[in-house]
Amino acid sequence: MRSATDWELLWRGRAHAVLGFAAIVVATALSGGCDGRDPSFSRAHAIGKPFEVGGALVWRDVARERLVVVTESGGAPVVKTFTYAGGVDTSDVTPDGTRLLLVDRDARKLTSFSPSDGTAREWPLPSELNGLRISEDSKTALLFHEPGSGGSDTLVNVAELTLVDLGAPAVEGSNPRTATVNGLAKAPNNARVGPEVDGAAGKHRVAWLEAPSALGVADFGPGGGKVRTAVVALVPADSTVALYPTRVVPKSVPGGLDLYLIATGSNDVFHVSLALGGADLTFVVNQIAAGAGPSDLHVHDGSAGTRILTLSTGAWVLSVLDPSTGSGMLLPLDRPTSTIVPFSSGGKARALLWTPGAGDVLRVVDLEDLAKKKGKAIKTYATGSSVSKIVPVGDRFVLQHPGSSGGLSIFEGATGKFSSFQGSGAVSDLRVQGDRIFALRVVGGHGLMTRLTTSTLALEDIAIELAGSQLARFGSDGIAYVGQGLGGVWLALFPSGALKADKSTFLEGFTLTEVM
Amino acid sequence: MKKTLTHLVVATALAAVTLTATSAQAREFGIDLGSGSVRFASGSVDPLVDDRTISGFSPRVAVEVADDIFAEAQWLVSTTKTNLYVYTRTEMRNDWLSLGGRYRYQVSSWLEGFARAGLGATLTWASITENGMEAKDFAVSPHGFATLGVELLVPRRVFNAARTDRGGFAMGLAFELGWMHTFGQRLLLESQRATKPAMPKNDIDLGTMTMTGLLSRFVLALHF
Repeated sequence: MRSATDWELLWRGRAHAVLGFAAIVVATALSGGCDGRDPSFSRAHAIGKPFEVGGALVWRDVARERLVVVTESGGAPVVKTFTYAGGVDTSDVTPDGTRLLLVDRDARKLTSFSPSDGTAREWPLPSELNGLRISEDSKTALLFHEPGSGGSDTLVNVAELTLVDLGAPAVEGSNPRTATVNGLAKAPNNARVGPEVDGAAGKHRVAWLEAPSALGVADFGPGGGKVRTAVVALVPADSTVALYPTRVVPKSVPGGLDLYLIATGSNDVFHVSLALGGADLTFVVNQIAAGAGPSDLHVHDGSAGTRILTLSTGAWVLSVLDPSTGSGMLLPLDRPTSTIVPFSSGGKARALLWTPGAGDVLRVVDLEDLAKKKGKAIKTYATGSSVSKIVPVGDRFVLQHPGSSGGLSIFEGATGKFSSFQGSGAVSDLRVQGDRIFALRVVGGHGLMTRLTTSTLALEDIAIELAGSQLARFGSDGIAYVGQGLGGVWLALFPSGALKADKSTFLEGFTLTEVM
Repeated sequence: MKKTLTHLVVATALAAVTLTATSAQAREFGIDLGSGSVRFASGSVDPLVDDRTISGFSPRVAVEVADDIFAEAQWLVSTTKTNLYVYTRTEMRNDWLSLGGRYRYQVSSWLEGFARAGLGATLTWASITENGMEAKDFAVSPHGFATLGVELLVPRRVFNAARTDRGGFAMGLAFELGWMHTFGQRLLLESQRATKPAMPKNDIDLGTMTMTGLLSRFVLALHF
């Protein structure tokens, strides 16, 4: 009976308003009305190692589609962010340290980013190019189809190469310029772009693809005109021998460009003379015997003319070759030596010879005296232990020794003097700034940072209870110690280079990225 | 300082309800328990909330101070955990402590409508964790809310035939919907990493969180 009374009340209408309201609020609640979370927060930030661009540290924040830049100003870090929505398949920093180049293969785009002023410039690419090489003068970038760095969804022409003038904006047809080296039978393993060459009609820029047994050369002549190409065969056409270029050194000559190269599978130095002045791109190839298995090559212009130095690990010799005559001399070494590091000291051209990770000697060659003194122009110095890495600092060399004793040496190329430093833990990273060396050792979860001034051999240390992964240049004089932290990274910054806690700043990654 | 403030807010809320209850012993007293949620209108909460909605436990006590008018104290507590940029674990706890009033409109012995409004303090604890490291902060800000709701009751006469439709024990299910406005609070998370030697550190700025949006509660209501 009570129920009937309630229903009567309901139908009399007093409850209509309340039930109507209830229906409205339930419908509103169910229908929502608020937007979902910003999807960027659900993407991996994927912040890894920083790019070191000059004194700036640059990260790509994938989730927020931007570049994060940390620079130094007045001894304090300054963080800025810049929008970058593209992908990055290949990246590199120009040799002058001013710009970061980013290649987005799928979007067919090259972006140049300057951290100092935050400016970016883009150039469209003709195809899904993924290989990037920058000229030593930082003026041009060469793009090509590099093998082994991810497959492409589309078929690509492996003989295609594109040259971008980094100092000029994109102009269809003239920047970038693209060419195909017709006749290059095999895909290149590497590519390079040479120095600017003066021609009769203006500046030329020669780039080449390094393919098995051949170079695919492209001459990007003045005025944005047609690109001339040629295939330089390193073996006769009917040969089945495969040569793989390992080192190519360009040298500008009047009206052309000389390329000196060595290749696995050959005991010769190939001297390719490219003539740029004629209607066609022509070349001459000469071969000079250099000893068994040349491993490195250096071209020296001395008072007696151009000389080519090669090291032969197979025959344990240093070859000194005259490309104009094809003659040369072989200077025996008492053990295999693989690497040449040219330097000058007191106005004299010299070269340091060494073998990474093996052997315990360094050799210094006086290049001007080689012709007269022959083997006596080579001085040998015992390092005491093997050397895993060498960083030149003028005519001094920082030697990093493998092992757990923190071995570090300074070798003076002019005098042959060594200064050795030891401590616990192996040196895992080195940075050289001016005459100062910053070395990192990570021992038992502690980062042991050392600053060594090469001119005075003064040392300064700090131990930080953080296990980081690398050092990075920060500002003009400073150093950054980098590890994994909140927001992907952490930074211990020493803007002045002084390794003192009260002159440092510690930043978690999220303080860098204005994450929210 | 922050703990002291929290204790002060809680103590004030409880004291107010107790005093009100003492002064109105003859009138109806109510308790309800259930869940409450806030669906945020602002994306400022996105770093810490994955769908812009938080839900939690929400008890309330009420004392009738005049016919169909109640003084109330309400607590909505919510803890949310989510991932930020995949690798960062975030956690946020919010305590909304409110004092307010309610007007009841009895339709029948089994149906009531009501309107509520209140003011209070929002206490927020936030933390983020990644690579074994944590940063956290605590903040307090004022809030206000207003809701409308309905309650379906088991009529009082079911429990005691002598009772009328007003007063005495009853129970029901109530649903209400309205708007919660919380004044923005800036969260600056302090890294808990102890660098040795100590180095100056910057706080992690989560920006100003505006935890304002659609407030709903679904509760079991008990009337005495």
